Amino acid sequence: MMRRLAAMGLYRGAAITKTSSQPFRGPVSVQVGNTEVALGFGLARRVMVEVPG
Amino acid sequence: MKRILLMGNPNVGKSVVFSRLTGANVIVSNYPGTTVEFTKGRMKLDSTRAEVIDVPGTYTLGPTTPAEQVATDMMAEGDVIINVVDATNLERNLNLTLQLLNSGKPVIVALNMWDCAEHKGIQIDLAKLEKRLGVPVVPTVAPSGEGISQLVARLEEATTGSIQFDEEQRWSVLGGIVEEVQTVTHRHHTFLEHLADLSLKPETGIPLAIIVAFLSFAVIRLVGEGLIGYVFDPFFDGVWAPLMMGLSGVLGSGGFWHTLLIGSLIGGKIEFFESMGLLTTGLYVPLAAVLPYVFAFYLVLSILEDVGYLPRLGVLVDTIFHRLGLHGLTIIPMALGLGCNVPGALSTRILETRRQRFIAATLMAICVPCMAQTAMIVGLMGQSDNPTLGLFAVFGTLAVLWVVLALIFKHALPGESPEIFIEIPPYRVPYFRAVGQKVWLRTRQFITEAVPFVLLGVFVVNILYALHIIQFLGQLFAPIIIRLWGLPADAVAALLIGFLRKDVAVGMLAPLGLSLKQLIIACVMLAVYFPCVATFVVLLREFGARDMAKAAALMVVVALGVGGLLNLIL
Repeated sequence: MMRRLAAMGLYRGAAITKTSSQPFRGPVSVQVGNTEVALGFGLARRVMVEVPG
Repeated sequence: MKRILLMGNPNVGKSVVFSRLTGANVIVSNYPGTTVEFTKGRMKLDSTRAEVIDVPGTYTLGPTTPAEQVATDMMAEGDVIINVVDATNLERNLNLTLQLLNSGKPVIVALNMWDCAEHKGIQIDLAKLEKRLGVPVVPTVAPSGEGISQLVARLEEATTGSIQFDEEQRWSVLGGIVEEVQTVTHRHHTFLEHLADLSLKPETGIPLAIIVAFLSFAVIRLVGEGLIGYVFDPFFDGVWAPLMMGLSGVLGSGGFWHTLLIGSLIGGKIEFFESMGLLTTGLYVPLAAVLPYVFAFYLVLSILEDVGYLPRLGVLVDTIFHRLGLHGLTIIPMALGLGCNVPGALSTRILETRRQRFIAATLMAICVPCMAQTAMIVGLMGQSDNPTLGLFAVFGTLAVLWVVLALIFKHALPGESPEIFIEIPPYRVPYFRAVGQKVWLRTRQFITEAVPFVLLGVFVVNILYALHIIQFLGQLFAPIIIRLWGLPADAVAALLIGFLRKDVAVGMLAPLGLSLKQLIIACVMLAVYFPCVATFVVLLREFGARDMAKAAALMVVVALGVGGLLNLIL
């Protein structure tokens, strides 16, 4: 899974921006570079983010 | 012969480059996974011919989905790789490029969507990129053909590249290259980008989805009915009917040729729905009753595809779909299946697991009527005393059945439905020519592939009646058809022909003088009891005999159960 995420540009240390989320634990979409990717809720909540200061 | 592979991330326009190189027409859309099977074509390369292979899109060479597996397997067979790269997404695309360079095959990079990159304020230093990668880089705009001739001219410069790196360091190497060659000028969101955001946010996206659905429906109806009312019906009634009446006079009624070509005259006239001759019903059904709707449907679908709306719809419905044990992207096979179940069944390959694909294909085969069938159901109901009620009953039953079957599958088949994980393409203004070509390609496919089957269907009906086989089967299946479903025994003929073509089958209900209730039951039964032969063959190829036997058993049970239930409650 890590490899698949990385292949879409979601590698360790990548900067991402959340663009939308569906209610009731629905998918979340994030912007990585110029790509927008939708992730299922379970997957998205395992993505650790650090808010840039 | 030289083998050229077109490789790249999903949805970067490989298939458009492929059409440009080979002149072949292939279906292209704006969502990842349109090409699930490789396509081969030929092109001329300095007086010799080369084979071009359009490989399904892949993010990496480590295969993670069936389509990527195909891509990785194909690698071994190529002589040269044209790596199609989305210029607006350099980092992610070059990740694959680096892996391709490591494979030892000669590579040339087509930096596609060059125009979009410019619009987005992305500038790429081509000379620097070429130097860093060590392979030729050619900017292209595939839909307009810009850069394609340079790409061909420089094909022989393709090399294995000079970049050396440690696999562990790939992302940092990549970051370095991108930083060096790309400058991004900040600019404001465009209208399309705002719209893209709005259609994904649930509070605006769901109302938008409903508007899109209604608009699509309205346009399909308007275009379909318009074509029938102003073009096809006037032609068939005003020109073709008198011509056929003339032929009927020449042939003399009652003879073998008259029955075969013209069919039976009803009240001394040709009734295109009921006469059942090859030149009357056989031409009218596919060309005048069905084709206008097929065309209208594909016009709308192609625009939605090329704009990039379908994956967003997939994300919006994902929450509900997962409650039903389905993946949001299941919406794509369903949408394509509304046109024709064959491409619908093929598009299930965008789903990851075999279980998901089987569920999606079976649900589609049972509950999603194709446009040909839908058009005929609409036409047939139009002649009943309450068309609106009839149509609501038929499509409502199918929708409820879809949900119920999905829930049964969720609990009966072991396994989880993987979470959605998909790239969402940006909205693009569709290229007018590309949409036109796609609609033409699909409509032509309908004419060349469906019309012969319709003619065969009408032919078979005549033969079966002449040999009294229909009467025999009617008696054989009387307990089911008459008692369980409450239909006349003659309906067995429609069910029989439904194996060949569902549209002809629905048309065959017209002369039976069915009540509204019987019409509803018969239409639903024709949709669910079995797929048409074309769909069946594709399903058999995709899922194998064992799974198809299971699916077929389910279809029979569903048909018996739902038919009986409708007969009881209506």
